[in-house]
Amino acid sequence: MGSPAQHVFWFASRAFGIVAMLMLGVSVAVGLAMSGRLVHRPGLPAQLKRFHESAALVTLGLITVHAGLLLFDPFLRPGLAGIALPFKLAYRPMFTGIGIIAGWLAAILGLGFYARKRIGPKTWRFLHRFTIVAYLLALLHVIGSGTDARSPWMLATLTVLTTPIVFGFTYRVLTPRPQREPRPTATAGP
Amino acid sequence: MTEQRELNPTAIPRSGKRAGRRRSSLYRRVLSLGAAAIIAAWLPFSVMYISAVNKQATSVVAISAPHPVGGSTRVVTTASGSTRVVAANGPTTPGTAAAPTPVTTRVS
Repeated sequence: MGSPAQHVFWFASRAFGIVAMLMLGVSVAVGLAMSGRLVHRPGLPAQLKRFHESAALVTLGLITVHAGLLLFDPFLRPGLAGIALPFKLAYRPMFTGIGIIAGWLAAILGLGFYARKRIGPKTWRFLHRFTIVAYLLALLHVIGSGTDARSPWMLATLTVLTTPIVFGFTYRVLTPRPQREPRPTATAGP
Repeated sequence: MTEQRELNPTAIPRSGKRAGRRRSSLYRRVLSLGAAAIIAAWLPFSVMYISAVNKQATSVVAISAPHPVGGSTRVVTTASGSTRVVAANGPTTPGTAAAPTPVTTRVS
């Protein structure tokens, strides 16, 4: 191991990756709680919607920082293509590629919220369902290429994070949707 | 609203005001959540950095450890993935024992 100072960007990227994964999990869980109508307290859905939107935007920022910091790592030297294009990076190409796909998918599905007037709320709502795929790909990325993936604390964190998401998703899929008029202003955040 | 605009043409429509308020509230929330996320990232970062400093200190001790005169040393990789300098069995021909070469690995 060289001087720890040489690995500052590597450590920072990993740290931001961990926090991005946590934030993504929380954001997806809140989104599922809203769409599955798991919260009934008056005013809470609106608060959750605001939190969901902010958390999603912060997640996208954290993913950008996670990838961007790797550009300055003197050992990896991924280059812009390495962090932006899937399967271009020499380091664990399969799982880093999956991570890059997850990042782009999260960005498209999340920022698509601000284009919902153009694409139509129905199309946006349909596309937004695939955010769960972004979460699953991110999970695969962490397990496959994460340096801390095999540490007990990381496995415990991922389990705690994923359990409510699996519950929320199953509940959402199994609950029949009530027929309602489309309300463009009442759609959930990204 | 139309009357209000007629009276004061520079008045911002109510929906525009609401959108502006909503946007500034969103900025505030994103900024505070972002600040919290940076602080949250500081914890794993410092743990990784401290653990790397400790590992480096251990390897420096191993490299500077005395070895038998005429004996040789070799760098081995342990099960945990870190590198260690150990004395090889038996002395080698004098003059062939090389000083351990610093090895740079990324294990953490």
